[in-house]
Amino acid sequence: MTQGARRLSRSPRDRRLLPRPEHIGRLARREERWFYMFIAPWLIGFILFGIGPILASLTLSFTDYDLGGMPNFVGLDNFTRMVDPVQGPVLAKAVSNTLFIALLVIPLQIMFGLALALLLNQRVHGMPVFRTAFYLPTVVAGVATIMIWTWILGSDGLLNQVLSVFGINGPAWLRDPSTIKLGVVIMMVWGGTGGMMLIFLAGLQGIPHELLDAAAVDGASAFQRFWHVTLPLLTPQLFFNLVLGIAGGLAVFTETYVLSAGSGAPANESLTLVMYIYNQLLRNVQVGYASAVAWVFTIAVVILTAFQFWGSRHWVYYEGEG
Amino acid sequence: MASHDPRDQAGTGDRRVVTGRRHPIRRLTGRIPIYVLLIGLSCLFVLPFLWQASAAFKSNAQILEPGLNLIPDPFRPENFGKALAAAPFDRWFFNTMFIAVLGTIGATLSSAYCAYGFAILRARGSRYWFGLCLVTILIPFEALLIPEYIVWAKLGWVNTPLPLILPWWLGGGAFNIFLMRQFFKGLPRDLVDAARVDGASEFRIFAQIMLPLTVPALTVVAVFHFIFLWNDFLGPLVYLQDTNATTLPVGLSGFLSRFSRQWSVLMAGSLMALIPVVILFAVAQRYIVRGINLAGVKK
Repeated sequence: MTQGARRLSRSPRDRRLLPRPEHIGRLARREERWFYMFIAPWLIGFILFGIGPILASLTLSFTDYDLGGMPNFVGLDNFTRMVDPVQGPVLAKAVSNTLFIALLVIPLQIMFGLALALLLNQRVHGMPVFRTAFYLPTVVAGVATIMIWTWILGSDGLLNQVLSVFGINGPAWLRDPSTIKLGVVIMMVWGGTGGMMLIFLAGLQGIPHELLDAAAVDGASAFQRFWHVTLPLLTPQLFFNLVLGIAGGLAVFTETYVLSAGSGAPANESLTLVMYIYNQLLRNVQVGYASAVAWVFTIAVVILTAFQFWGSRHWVYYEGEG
Repeated sequence: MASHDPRDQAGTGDRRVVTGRRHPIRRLTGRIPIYVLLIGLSCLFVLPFLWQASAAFKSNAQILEPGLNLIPDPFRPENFGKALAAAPFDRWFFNTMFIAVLGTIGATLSSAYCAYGFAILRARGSRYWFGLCLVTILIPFEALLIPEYIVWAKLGWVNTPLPLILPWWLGGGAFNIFLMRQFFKGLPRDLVDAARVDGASEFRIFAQIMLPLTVPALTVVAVFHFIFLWNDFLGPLVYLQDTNATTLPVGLSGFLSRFSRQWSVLMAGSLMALIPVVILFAVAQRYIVRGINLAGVKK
């Protein structure tokens, strides 16, 4: 019997030798049951405390709710208000500020985070001390940060003193409308790099020595080993940092709020989208309008994230799927 | 492979293992640039912390002085005594520790458990469940602030630590689930298949085979979450309105208004609040090391 004929004849009779379809189905169903057993805590939490507030907030965005009295349905008023002559320009300013900050912060955080993780993965003495030192800015928080950042970014603060060594006359970062956003970027990179660094560092621990050793034996240079072995095996962590770095960068709030005491000063240059929502909600008590802006923002970020997941199939390598 | 060097704890895949004939002195001099870089950069990263630490010993006038002076003059260690006497510090410390420890245990265990389901177990529609899970962290916090408060108020749990702890035991938050999922998906699937053939239950495969391989990732989740809960301002501000029930960040923020801008006392209080987290990190980072060697598993 030729190969072709054998392949043809297999269909009806030999199938009995393979596991029957319902048997495969039973295994898959068993795995499916386990899937739900494992995600059950999240699912229960989502049903009890997640879905209610989400639906309530969505509903509120179509009302004029201001905490006093009952909410009245106002149709799409909140959504048209975002582009009216009063709110439109302010919101547009907040969007452009947010994009400016996010586009600078995200690549810097990821690049510095990766570089520091590679550096802290070396075999040198005193590594626990270095790791702790690099992570310190992430730990420092609270009211004291206002003082610290005024000390660093003030007109004769630390940064300008360092710059003056190189003959650069630095601006008053936090008062100058043209530099406040750069001040925010510096603050976010300094404070946010430690987290990404730690995730990359944990990822580096899962890369087998043998692959790097084998590459070295084959004469791969340090850069080639990084580019062809380390980086591909680090793509799950890189993807995580990218997705949540972008989401976090676009949701910038604490830094600008702390630096401007919530005002967006100077001249609305530090007003970001999430700060705009916060002020509409808690200063102007426009719960309906604030919810509407928040949901437009959410939908934009969800679409952006979905695109990243779609694209990840082409560049993220999972050992478990390879 | 037998050439695996057990001393290589930091996990560099150091070439020395392969080309082990380099002279010890040459090896040391080759490392000098790394030390210079590490020391230089860590100075940059430590400076803000050093300033805060020195400010805790400064007089109020000196804190507000411009310039880079890190030496307290006059030296005022009594700032700490003032801070301790000024507020129920021990109470706040206990409250913060209680919430941070219980919340962190819940988030770490729960997120690892749920992430294993999302990463390893195949089910129809699992992608959509994961997508839904992820959407919950993409919503700005303000949008849910009032509806969530109403839920907890209806349950009668405002002014208890429950709203700040219980949610973390139910899934541990999408951030942690996503993080753990990325690490589980990076493990060889053959481990699961082999254990299934041996008749291990799915729970045993998770708890005894896969979980121990993600210790570095679990450490990162625990560290992130502890620091998040320790520094969280909004949560305790909203849910713990009683002064005795509140936490360090909220309590400290009240210092400024109550002591007519006494920065020195605030700095001393902040430094005391910071020290436990620094110690925790210094201890925890030891667990971010190479786990069991996986290269023996053939794909």
